[in-house]
Amino acid sequence: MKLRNIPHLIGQGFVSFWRNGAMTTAAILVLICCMLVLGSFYVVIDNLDKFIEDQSESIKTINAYVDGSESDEAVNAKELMLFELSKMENSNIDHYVRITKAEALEDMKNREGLEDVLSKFDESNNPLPETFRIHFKDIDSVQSLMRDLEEIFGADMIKSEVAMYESVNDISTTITLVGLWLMLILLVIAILIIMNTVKLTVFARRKDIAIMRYIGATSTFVVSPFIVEGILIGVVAAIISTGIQYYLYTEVFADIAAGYSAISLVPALDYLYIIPVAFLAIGLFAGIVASATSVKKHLDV
Amino acid sequence: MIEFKDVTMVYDNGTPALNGVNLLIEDGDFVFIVGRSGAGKTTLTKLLLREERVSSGKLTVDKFKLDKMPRRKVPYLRRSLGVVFQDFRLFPNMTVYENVAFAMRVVGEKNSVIKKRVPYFLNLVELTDKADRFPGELSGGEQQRVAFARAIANNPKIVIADEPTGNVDRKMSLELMDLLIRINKLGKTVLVVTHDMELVERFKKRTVTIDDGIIISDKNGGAVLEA
Repeated sequence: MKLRNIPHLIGQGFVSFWRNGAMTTAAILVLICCMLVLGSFYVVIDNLDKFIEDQSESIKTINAYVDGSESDEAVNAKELMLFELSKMENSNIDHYVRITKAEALEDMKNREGLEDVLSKFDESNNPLPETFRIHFKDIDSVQSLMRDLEEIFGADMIKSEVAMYESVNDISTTITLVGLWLMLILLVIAILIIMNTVKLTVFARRKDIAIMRYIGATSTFVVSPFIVEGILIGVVAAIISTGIQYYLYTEVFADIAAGYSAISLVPALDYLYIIPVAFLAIGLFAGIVASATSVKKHLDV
Repeated sequence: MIEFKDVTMVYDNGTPALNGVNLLIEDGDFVFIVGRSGAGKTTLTKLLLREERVSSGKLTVDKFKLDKMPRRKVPYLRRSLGVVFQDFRLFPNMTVYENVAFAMRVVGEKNSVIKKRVPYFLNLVELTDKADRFPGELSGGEQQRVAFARAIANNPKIVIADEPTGNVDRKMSLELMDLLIRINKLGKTVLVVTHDMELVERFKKRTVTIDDGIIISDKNGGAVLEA
């Protein structure tokens, strides 16, 4: 193929894209539908995952209680040991908070439904113990941290939400895994549907391909405009899908999420790269591969 | 020059199509290939375009030895031929101008040359005023004239017309034949495959008759030639 043919072949791709209006539109619509299903599924799974992650972060704590009979010096000594433990190299303690008896009572009183029960308690008869709330970093090495804390505060004085964290974390991992598999299956189905649609557009023009061969066009000359057309279909579908997906996310999804106060959506801008790039990649892959493979079938004349 | 030397062609399904065909067509000849349906005319055209391959024997078209030629060279063989089909085979989504220009683009012709030569060929087939029309907007005869313009656009030495008058009326058939004779006078070898005996008799050119895959006669405007 001569180099001077390249601009013509690219132009021919644009012309075919425009002139084969109905089939091009069909291919783009199928592509958009597939991308939107995939994109919506991805943002839902991602939001669900982030929601569970946020919830689990809040229970990633260990409470160490102090016996009310202990002196202030003894409590301070325990805090010093806790401080040293937190400052050790590779410490699993992210940070800790010391909650005094008064703060604990105040906090409890502020909780809905507990005001009346706790109203009779004050500083003189406060039944709540002084507490150290320890936020840890890594669930895998939490048992070793528990042992260290038991040495400082005593085994009976340690309460943790580790078991709950582990089960929530398991749910999150399962959702991510199931989501990934479903997305993979959906992606394969989407690509197959897209390829089939592009194949139909090529099949509709098999006579044109045969004529090109009869007048001496090489395989490259025949295939190139179809690939340009495939690229255009992919790019146009990706751009439109990104726009619709953005609208769906910021308007429809946001409206649904607004109904549940506990859910706060991941900001749309966090998907600024992943969604358009993924759409473009799917569009280009499906467009180019489908065009090239289906044209080849009709070259043999 | 086209030369068939003891060419036999049997299709993959075992159907015999040509049997020991010997035929020499010199540069500048005008030849009718005639015969009833299924006689082997179409197979002969397919072999010349290397749509099919000879089963045995030797087939030479200009500098191409078709019996040995690898598949990748087929586009270059076809570029050296101008072919006109009964069903025109024009691109429905291209204008008349673009249809003719496309053949020139296939061989990598410069834009400046295309812009100069396409109007010349359209003028030759008297379609200058319809350059921007699409094939669907033209009559059968006009579409076939576009096909003629496209066939000669790359200045081929050989023009093959497969039933060129099959889809047009009598008046247009005669006009198309006149066009082919003018093309022949430009020095090109012209091969017309047809079953229209009235046309053949009217133009009195060399006529090769095929039946059951065998050449049964080769007459030059009435005189029988040595096979």
